[in-house]
Amino acid sequence: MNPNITNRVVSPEEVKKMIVEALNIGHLPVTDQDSIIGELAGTLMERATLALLKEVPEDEFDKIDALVDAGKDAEMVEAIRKVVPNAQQIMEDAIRSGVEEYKILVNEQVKARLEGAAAR
Amino acid sequence: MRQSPPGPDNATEIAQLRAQLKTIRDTVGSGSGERRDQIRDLARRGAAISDLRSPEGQRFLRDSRVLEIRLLNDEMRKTSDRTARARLLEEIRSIDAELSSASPISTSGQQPVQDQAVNSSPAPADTQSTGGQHRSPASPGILDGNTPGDGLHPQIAKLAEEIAKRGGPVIINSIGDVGSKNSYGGSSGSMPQGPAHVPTPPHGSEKPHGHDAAHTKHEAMPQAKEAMHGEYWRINGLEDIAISEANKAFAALEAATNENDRVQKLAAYKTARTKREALAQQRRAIADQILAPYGGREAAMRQMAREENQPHAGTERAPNAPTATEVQNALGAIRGRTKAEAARIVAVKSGGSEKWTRRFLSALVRWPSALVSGMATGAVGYSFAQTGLASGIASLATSLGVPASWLTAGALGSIPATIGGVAVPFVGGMMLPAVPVVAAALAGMAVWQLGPRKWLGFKKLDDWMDKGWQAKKLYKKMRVGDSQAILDAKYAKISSRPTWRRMQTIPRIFGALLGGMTMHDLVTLSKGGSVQDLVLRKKGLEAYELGKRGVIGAGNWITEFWNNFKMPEWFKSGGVVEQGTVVECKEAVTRLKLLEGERDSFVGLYKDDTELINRLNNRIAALEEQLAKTKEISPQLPPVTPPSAPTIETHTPPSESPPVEKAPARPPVSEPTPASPPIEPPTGLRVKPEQLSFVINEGSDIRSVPPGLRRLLDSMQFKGRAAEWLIDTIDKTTYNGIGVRDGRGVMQLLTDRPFDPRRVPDDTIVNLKNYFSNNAVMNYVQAQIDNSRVLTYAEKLQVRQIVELLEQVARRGN
Repeated sequence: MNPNITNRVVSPEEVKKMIVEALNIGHLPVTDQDSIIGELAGTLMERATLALLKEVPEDEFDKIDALVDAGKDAEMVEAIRKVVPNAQQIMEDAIRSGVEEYKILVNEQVKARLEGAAAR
Repeated sequence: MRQSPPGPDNATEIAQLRAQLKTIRDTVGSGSGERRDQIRDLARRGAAISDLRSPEGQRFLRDSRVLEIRLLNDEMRKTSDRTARARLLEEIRSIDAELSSASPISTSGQQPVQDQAVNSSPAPADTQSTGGQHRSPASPGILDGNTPGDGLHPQIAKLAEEIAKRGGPVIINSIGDVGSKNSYGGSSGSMPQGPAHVPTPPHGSEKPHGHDAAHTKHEAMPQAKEAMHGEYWRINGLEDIAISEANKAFAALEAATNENDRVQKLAAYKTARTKREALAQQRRAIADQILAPYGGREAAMRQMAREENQPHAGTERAPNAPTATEVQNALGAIRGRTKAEAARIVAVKSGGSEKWTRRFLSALVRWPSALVSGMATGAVGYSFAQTGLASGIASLATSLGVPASWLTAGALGSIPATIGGVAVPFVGGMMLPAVPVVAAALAGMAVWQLGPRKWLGFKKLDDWMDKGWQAKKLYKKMRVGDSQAILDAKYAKISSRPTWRRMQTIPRIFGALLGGMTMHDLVTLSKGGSVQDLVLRKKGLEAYELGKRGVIGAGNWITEFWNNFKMPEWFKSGGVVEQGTVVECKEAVTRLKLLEGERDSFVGLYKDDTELINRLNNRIAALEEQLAKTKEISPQLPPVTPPSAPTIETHTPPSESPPVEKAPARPPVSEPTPASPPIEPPTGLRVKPEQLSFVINEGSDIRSVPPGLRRLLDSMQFKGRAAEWLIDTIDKTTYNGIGVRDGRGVMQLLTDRPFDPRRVPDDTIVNLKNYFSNNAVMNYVQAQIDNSRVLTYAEKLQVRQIVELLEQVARRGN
């Protein structure tokens, strides 16, 4: 956890700064940073959703679907939590693994580049 | 340049222009970031203008119209609907005509302003420093200098007339510097700046577009040099026109329906291309002169590339910091894996039941925003009003250690507002009482735009809305979460079949999914009508049925297909139609795709399997005969045999890494492994892999890629129509950028910065290795091979062999 974060509301700038630092993209133009954050965030959201939906029993789908249809989002979320008690953990794990995967992929490429440069 | 005297109040006109901009912004507000930036730039400029007659005002007038053209052109690129395209084209032509029309200047009985500067030599030094412009003898006191056929903007002409009436000499900036006639169709896609406007700052919104770095490295310059810049821009404009014409010629070539037509179109295309290349050469020569003080064009471009990669805003870039390209590659890989996983879950969850598949897809489309924001942030109360992007950022921040409960709605809402221009009206975590309805609407739109719509590739749906009752019906189904419609929409994006045809493919897609194929394969499959119709129609449906029992080997139905249909020997000898893995299945699909180019001759004509089989067999016989003839008449071409080297497609994360789902999609990193077989060029190619490595790593500017590829192919003795086609296809990625086609993408992947047609392509150092090891480029090239109506299937095979070989060499690095 970021030690700079205390018991207070986190400003968007701070959140963004943390993300930028974590992804090691501070040297890129701001527009790039924004684009990267947006893309990664979107993909992570999808991963998290998928991870959760994998755990939802199929016989709950009708009920949950009905709640979605009715626009009862809070109830829908509660219904999912009921059948998947550790839903939040599942999603957070999926997101963390996504971030880790991103880091691994990036680092592999950086490593390959550095090795290539060294070889030359 | 002398400023024109202040005129009467033009606030009304400015207001109208601003209103026009607002309309544009409202209409295309969700466009690419680049366009948004341009709109903002223009709006900013407009706000600062007090006199439309000033040079800045004139530029503003022109640029607003040019931007409008570009926005319309953006829209045109997005839609495949002919009616909509025709309408957009008409609008573009109308504006273009307005821009290009040479309004007569009536003062003192003057003649209409004619282009007097159509020559390739720099303007004389007494041309009032307007860069290549002449004092028109037909209109004393008025300077114009445009590319052929261009004229003055009517409003500017009117202003000029008024000023001339007051007795003042009038100097008018060229408006045709970038070839307004076709500037919207060019490759560069930016707002032009006139030759009289150089110099311009090296960074910032005012930077003119261009193929060289010529516009970035100068301060105030002497007249002669300024004239040289004018000439540069003139040639640059002509080149834009030539590029556009070459593209049109190529499109015409691709659309040619018979051999005679193809020959004619090919000749036209070659002429256009030659013209384009000649202009490019001219422009580069001028750029060399301009950039001589900086060590020449090449050196300046390299310097620019270095500068572009410099740390942003004073931050230091550590050697191990990723480039934008590397980051984008990683993002692409993660996206691909996520999609593959989604496909897998659909198959698993459905268990063969269409009902559950429908439910599941419905959930995927409709839940993400509410779920993730609710779950990841632990704040259910405002989940509904969150955007997908805010949710994702919340998730990302949470994973990085930001306590979920501390992420207020205000924080979440304003991040996307700052990073994506998506405003979510929250104030301190509480929605204003009057806002909920608006917020819900905005959130719904944002979720649709940023979440499932983008993710599942529904953009095409918008186009379909113009297609009448079918689209309406489909859209209605979409709205109620109908899985059939969802899949229709998804696959329609990559299929060129008519809507009703696409809809027929859905059961086959399901069959293939349940048969063990992945979404990646399906995407591949769905590109090929022949594959869909020949394979999935018969075997996919069977697989679907069998899938209910969970028993389908990936290779089984391919094998059955092979056994049931007469296939050419080269297909069998590939050894790919065996029972086994998905990879083998993919290989088989690759082979089958070769038939795709011929699909239109039979697909859609059959009524039952018997007729289909007969037609297929007849067609195959014809193809074999054609192949035999090709061999006879083209001994220099490599014989048609399946590629000997398998595709390198392994990516194993380090053991200490968290579990990563195995992705069937093409991984971004393909490294050589000790077990990898040696690279063998296709039989008949007279080149050694080392030679390929040497050539393929030869770095240069992006425009040298096509000639570099030509040299490479020449060294491989790969010539003829197929080779020309490949060069052209790669050429397209350099001039137009696939990013233009997809909204963003390839060019962004190829460079260390976002795709920006004003700067890309020339100032980027790339080499063939970049191209042939780039997933997006390879996917693009593969798609082009698949969809080409120019190449015969034998040529497709040849091109595919070459591309696969180059890809292997490139991916194996040095």
